[in-house]
Amino acid sequence: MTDGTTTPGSGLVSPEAVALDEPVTGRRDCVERLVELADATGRVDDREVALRAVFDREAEGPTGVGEGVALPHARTDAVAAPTLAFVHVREAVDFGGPDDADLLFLLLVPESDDVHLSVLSRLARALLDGGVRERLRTAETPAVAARVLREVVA
Amino acid sequence: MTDHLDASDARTVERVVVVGVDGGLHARPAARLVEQARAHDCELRVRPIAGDEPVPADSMLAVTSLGVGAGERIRLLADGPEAYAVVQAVAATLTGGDPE
Repeated sequence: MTDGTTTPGSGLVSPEAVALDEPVTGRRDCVERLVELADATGRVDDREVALRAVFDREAEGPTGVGEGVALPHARTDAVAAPTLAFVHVREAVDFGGPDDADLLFLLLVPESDDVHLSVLSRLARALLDGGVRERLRTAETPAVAARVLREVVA
Repeated sequence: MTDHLDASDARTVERVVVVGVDGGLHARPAARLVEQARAHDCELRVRPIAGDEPVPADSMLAVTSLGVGAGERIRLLADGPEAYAVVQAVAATLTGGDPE
């Protein structure tokens, strides 16, 4: 795996799945936007199924994890490969965490895949670093944000 | 299991637990752990047995960063007046003995 395009991080995050300075508000609309972005990568077979899986997971417990971060996620066969979407919203949204979240990440992983916890934990570990959060908040283009994400989850 | 730690007035308590809840330290059990850490008068940290630095148990982001799966062992490190109580409560949550 020496080719940069085949490393896990590069497959996982593409600029089409990133949106910055989004005016979207409310948890439901944010999740819908994230699923739409994941779908833009061409790796979601059934957007409705993916959306339902994410909402089911949201109902299990809050995905707002503090530091302005929310990590909604689901295992679903509506995706063919692990896919990460990222939205930086203009106004922070309540994801049931200790604070409202403006850095929203969606991770979709096929049912059979066991990378779920490891990608989520790598992402969380990276986001513990205030410098990484700042780079994502100030990224000027989706390509820049996608590059930061590739760096930290690869 | 290190249940010989019955000195309920101890200010510093360490205990290794096997995560028995489905899906590991994730979703509901993780949220419950964070809630329990915040509800007690002490500092609780969690550390995977494999190494790494302990992380504060009152931060969901930090707990998520551990990526602990079902069947894995973690070490709970509590320091403060309610150290014993928080370790008992969290151990029950993580082993699946807590009905909530």
